Amino acid sequence: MGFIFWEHADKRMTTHEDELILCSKEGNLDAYNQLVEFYQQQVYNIALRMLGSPQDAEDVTQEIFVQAWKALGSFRGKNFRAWLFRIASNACKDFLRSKRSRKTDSLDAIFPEYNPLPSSTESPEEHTLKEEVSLLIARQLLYLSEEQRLVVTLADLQELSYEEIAEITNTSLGTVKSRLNRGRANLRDLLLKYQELLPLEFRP
Amino acid sequence: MFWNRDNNECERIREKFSPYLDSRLEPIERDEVRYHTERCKECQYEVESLKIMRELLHRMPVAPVPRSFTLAEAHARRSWFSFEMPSISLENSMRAAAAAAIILFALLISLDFSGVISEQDSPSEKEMVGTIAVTPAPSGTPATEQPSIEGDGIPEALPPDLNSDSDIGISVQVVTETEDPYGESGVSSPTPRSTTPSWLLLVEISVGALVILFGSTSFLIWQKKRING
Repeated sequence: MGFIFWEHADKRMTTHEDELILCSKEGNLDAYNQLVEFYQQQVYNIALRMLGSPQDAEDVTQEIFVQAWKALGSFRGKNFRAWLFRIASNACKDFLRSKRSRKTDSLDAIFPEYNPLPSSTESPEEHTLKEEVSLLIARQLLYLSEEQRLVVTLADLQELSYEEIAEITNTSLGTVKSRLNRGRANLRDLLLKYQELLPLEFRP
Repeated sequence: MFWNRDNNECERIREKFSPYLDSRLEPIERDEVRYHTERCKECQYEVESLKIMRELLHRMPVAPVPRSFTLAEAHARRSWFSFEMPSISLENSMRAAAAAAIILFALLISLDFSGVISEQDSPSEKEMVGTIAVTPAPSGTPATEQPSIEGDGIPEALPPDLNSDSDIGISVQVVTETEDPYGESGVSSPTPRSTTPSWLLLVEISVGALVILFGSTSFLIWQKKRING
């Protein structure tokens, strides 16, 4: 059985990643940890933008990689990244659902990632410009619906293709396009209130 | 009329703005968007502002990972055929327990009232009295009081003299008595009656208590959740 699987897999085993996936499926933890190291930043950033809190993102990211390891035996597709990001987006949604039922934090209290106050070592102008804008966008992202936030995160922050996003979210291309359209438009409307904070070249 | 048509046209074009900005449109569609936005000020503003939004998002910094997420051996123990128990909240388990207790309670009560479980089935009962009462026939024949038959069990057939008498309409009632408080053993009882065994009563009371316990616990959890929002 294993031999047949190897023989079949060999035809498409072209990249280093495929080899790592095969070894991981057979229980090789070192191979899996190489995959973790390769994808952990992307997964962590998806979780961070979806959840808003670095602490929650850290916990959920660890959970995602544990889940993926346990479910690796069921991975039959060709796109490991889409499969992993699908686990990631489902884990984020589950986390948000359970958090809603607990309802602890307010939106304003959950984003301590960026310090809006300029540090004394940097020139104040340089610091506030970049940090403030990204803090603002990250906060406003949290006001989008989960579906729109996910698509905007995957398309504009992770720069994935529409096809891959459709695979991750298990929706059609049309749905991806319309969610992205509405997500960007809603985010723009939210940011219009803070025009003065945007760099000059970005003010409409 | 014209306004409506223009509005619909704008709606249709605006749906293509994201794929337009991401260079995901066919050349014909791309030209269509360009042609429209050159002539429609509102759509031009819309596409320009979306372009800015997209640029801003693409410039968002990538957050560094706070630590490595590689798995240690402890995390990595996996069994291919394991079924993980789904996480069940206290509220749901209480609700399920209350529902199960209610169903069990209703079942016990219905069994009790239908008389399926009654003392006559109890093997502990030694003294059983079988009584045959003959009620008057509708034809007006004088009622015949048949003396009761005492024995170890319920007689399965009628006495031959009654069976053979075809002229008199006879109805037979089999009555069981657990005890005879007045010492009138053998006297026919006017209505058939079966009593609930004590163990069944005990089970009913305890299941009833469980219904109250689980029901009130889930109600309290629900109330607390409602107050907390």
